[in-house]
Amino acid sequence: MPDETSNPVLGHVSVASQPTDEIPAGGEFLEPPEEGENPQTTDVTSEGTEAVEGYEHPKGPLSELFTPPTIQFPDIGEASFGPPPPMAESVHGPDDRIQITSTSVYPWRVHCSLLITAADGSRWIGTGWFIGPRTVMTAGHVVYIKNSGVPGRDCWATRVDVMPGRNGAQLPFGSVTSSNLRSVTGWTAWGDQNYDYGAILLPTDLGSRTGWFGFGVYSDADLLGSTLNVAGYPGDKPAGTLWYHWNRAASVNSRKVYYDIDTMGGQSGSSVYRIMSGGRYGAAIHAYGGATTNSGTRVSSPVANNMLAWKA
Amino acid sequence: MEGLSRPLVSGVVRDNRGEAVTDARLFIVAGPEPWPDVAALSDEAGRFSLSVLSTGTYKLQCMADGFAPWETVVDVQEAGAALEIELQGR
Repeated sequence: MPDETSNPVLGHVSVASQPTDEIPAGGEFLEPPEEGENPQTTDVTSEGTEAVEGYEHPKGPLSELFTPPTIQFPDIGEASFGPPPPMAESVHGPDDRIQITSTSVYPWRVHCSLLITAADGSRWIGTGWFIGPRTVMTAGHVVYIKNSGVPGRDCWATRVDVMPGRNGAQLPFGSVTSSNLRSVTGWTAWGDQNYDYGAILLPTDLGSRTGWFGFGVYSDADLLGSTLNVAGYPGDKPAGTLWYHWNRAASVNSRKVYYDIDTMGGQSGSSVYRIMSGGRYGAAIHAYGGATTNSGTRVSSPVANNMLAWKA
Repeated sequence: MEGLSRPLVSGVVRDNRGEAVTDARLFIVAGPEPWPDVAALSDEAGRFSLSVLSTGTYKLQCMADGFAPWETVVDVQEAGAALEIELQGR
């Protein structure tokens, strides 16, 4: 791997599964959302979350959220049995996710259940979200398998079935298949988690019906003061069902955003988004579970440049 | 196109009659360092394999509609780990 710290832009060189003549874009980095046809857009709260009927954050409103201590206290069981192996899960404490069943309306229909077929024939599930009429954003490891340890698997996915607004067996917008994929060299060549993002380019403009999320490049202070929202298709719930949760950002660095928002395998690629003036704006692409926080690739300027190019 | 080789957790998913379970979802729920938040699907023979970033102790879960959740803690070495999963009906 080259010394990417001396020239981090190298990691954001766009690469494609098929020939492309796209030109990297630049300029503004607050790309607006679009709500699509007959959106029936659901309400938002004053705290920057989705207003889901009957759902209150089990931990209370944001202003009352408990701030966990930074010191790790031992479990009482350690007094008798000694320290356990590190087994903190990507659902931190109680599972606070709520199922969304109104998936045919905006914004929920922007989220896509993904069925991924890798080059060795193995199949996987993930999540994506529309950023334009033909472009679904997701994690890099969803579209390009890297360092799998399985012969024939490390490569572009051979196909991705995209199911917007899926609710179990219900596919309100059908399913579209694509093998026209995008990621960046930082992921495809180096396998660096800091560059773990990609996109699926669809052969139809289905996003014109579903609408899409905007995205923006935000300062550390903006992100740390924000409520972040995540919705996706986790594998631990009934197949193909959409689940939502929100919380404050826990920490950020120049390439990642960390948050105590419950996720599970299958939610890779989910939008980590802010709500501003009623509009939804992606701030990161969820990619990793973790013991204390989960994390996503931050929409930094180079990431936003590629997103603009990929939605062109 | 092959890169670094990661330890591999592989195995087969069957029901309590010994028949292969297709499209069971297998994923990591806890581990020693961050893990990709994807889920593998078992194939028509019930087989699956997913890599982990490093050796260590992982908690894995297997879910399939119509079956009770299955979970295990496994110590993954360089050579990987093999699992025989038997799902029970709800």
